[in-house]
Parts: sequence; structure tokens; C-alpha cells
Amino acid sequence: MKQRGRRTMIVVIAAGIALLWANQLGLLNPVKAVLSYALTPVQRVFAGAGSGVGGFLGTVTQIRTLADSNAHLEQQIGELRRQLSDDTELRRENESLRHQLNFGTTPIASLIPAQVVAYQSDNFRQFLTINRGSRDGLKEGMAVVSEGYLVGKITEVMPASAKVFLVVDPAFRVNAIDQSSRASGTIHGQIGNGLVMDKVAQSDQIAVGDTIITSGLAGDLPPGLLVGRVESVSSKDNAVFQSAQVTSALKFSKIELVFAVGGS
Amino acid sequence: MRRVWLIGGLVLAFLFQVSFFGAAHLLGVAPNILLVAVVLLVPVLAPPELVATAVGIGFVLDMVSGADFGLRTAFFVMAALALLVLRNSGVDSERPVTALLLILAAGLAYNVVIATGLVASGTFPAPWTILSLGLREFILDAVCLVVLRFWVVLLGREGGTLPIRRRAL
Repeated sequence: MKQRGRRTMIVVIAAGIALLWANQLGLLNPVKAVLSYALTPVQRVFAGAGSGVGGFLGTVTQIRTLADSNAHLEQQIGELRRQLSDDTELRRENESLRHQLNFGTTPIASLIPAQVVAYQSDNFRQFLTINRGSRDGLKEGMAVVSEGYLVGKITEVMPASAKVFLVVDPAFRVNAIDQSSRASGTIHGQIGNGLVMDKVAQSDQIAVGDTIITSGLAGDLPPGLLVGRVESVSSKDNAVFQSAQVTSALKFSKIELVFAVGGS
Repeated sequence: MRRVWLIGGLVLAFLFQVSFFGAAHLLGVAPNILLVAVVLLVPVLAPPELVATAVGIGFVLDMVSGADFGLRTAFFVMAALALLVLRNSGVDSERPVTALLLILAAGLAYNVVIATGLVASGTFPAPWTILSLGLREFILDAVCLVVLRFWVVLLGREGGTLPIRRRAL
């Protein structure tokens, strides 16, 4: 009896290994496609409920700081309105100059909206599952944004869902530049500490408050996507590179709606 | 009927793990409800059933995860085998304190295993980060244990031939 039990266990473990192998070979793709169709709507309900509970508890625990936060945000809205008005003028001027020089207009990328239906099951890696897939035109490598900020890129596409590799994952790498000084570096995530821009040459200027955008180098993500703002700079005289702590305005654990950046 | 309760409960736990808790992000982390389920299932399932359950859970988590494919299946199988060995040597996971200690140890081990997936990127997290995440996870795991206990007792009753009692490896 004991011998039989052990034999069954070995068979079960071997079956597990075979399943992993079959998945790596893509043999389980049809099963995964069916599951993605069936599970995505249910996962959306669960994610919605979780978001509601998390949002409610978050509000309750932050109720004392809400007034300050509100005042700060109102001030920020005023500043952004002024900035938007300046930017609108500059855009018109830019369009007019491009037209006069026959430069053509900048192509506008299409955005495909998607809802987050599942999150990474552990607390170290940072991936999301969204409810749009290949049937909606999503492809591997597409950039994903939310509220204007870079969220990550698509790494796996199923017919009705896709996995998004988040920029805050420690293994994520993307080339980025400082929008004002054009200093270039590499952005990667840090567990619990947001984003870091490293490999910035010592001779380059990078200052607190600067805006960091994707550079488009290496062709992995389109240029100009907003990554975040420089929070602090760490520079040592004897080091080859300097690095900067970058903060994204996004709360990656609370993202519900994202946009995949399609071709123009 | 017992199998329906088992699979239904695990599917529900899976949905809670990847969608509900992932979105709620209570205490800044998501609990490892499926690991809690495996610890609690040790006294109710026959060893091959427990290992099959661990393979299934690990495989599904690997499928929905974006990185380190196979790591979760390997961990859950090893955890199930270790729990069976402990059970065989007299560790009674039916006692709440023992179950909590097992969940704490398994949770920390799981975090270390998942963190090893980051070694290739040269960004292995600091030990205090692993510990801090693990302890916050543990608080939520303890709450999950209380809820899942009802499900496990129900499974034990439904089993008939597999009541909650000590079972040899």
C-alpha cells in the first residue's frame, strides 16, 4: 500500500514535469486560450471587488491626510493648467512651422484600452494580466501606459488576455533620458523603492524634479513615454556612473485601466 | 462531492489570490492563500492527492506568472513533500499554532525561492525586504487560515474515508 502510494506520487510529479515541458513547447496554448476566454470575465469581477475593498480601506486609513492631499492636488492642478496652456501654444507653433517646412506631422499612436484582471501572485515580481489580447490587436513588445505614464510592456499575448511586464520589476530595463538635459541612462525597478535610473555618465547633468522619458533606443519601447520625475540624485566622485531615484505618479498596485500603445 | 468541494475551493482561492488580493493590496502585499491551503490540506488528503494538488496549484500559478516558469510548481511540490515528512515525524498541522508556524516558514521559504529568480538581473532583494514582505504576508495568511479552516473541516467531513487524522507517508 505504502509502495503504491509512493509510486503514485512519482507519477504525479512526472506528470507535473511533463506539463511544464508541454507548456514550454507551446502544446498547451489551445487550453490556455480557452481558459483565458473563460476566466477573464470572472477575474474582472474579483479584481473589481478587491479594488473596491482596497480603495475603501485605503481611504479610511488615510482620512486624516486627505485634506492636505486635496489642497496639494488643487495647487498642482493650477500649475498643470498653466503648463497645458503654454504647451498648447507651443504645439500650434510647432504644427505651423512643420507645415511651412513640409516636415509632415508627428504620427499619433493608437491606444487600446484594457482592464487589469489579475496581478502577480507573489510580492517580488511585477506583472499584470489585462483583458485584451491578440483578437484586439495586441502584440508582444507593445508599450503600456496609464494616466500618461509608462506602465510596462506586453510580454505574452493570448486571444482574450495579455501579460504586462511592469517597469517597476527589478528585472525590467528600458533606456531613458532626462527631458531637459538629455542625460541618458537605464531605468529599472526596485522592490518597494520605485524606480532607479542608473548608468548615467558623471559628466551628464541630472537634477531633482527633472522629467524622465523613454529614449526609444534599442527599439524596445517608443520614445517620449513619460516614466517619472527625479526624486534624488546619487553621485560619487570615484564612481563611473551616477544614479537617480525616479518616482512615477502611478500607484502600480492600484492600476485598473491601462492603454496599449499601438502603431500609428 | 468531496472532489467538487476541493477543486471548487481551490479555484476560488486562486481567484482570490491573483485577482482579489492583488487588487486590494492590503498592507501593501498579497497573502499566499494557496500555500495556506496546502498546509491545511496535509491532514485531509492522502499523500498522492496532496502532491497532485501541489502540482496543480504550482502549475496554474506558473501559467499566470510572467517570469521564472516552473519555479512555483517546483516549490509547491517540495513544500508538499516536506509537509508530509514533517507530518510523518509527528508534527501535527491540525493544531493552529503549528499550522501558523508552518505557514510562516513556508511563506518565507517561498519568498526566498521567488527572489532567487531575480539573481540573473543582479537585483537580489535585501534580506530585510524579504523578511518585511514575509511578515506582512504572514498577518494576512493568518486571517486566510481562519477562513480556510472551515473549508478544510468540511472536506474532512465530506471525505468519509479520509477524515482528519494522522496519515502515514
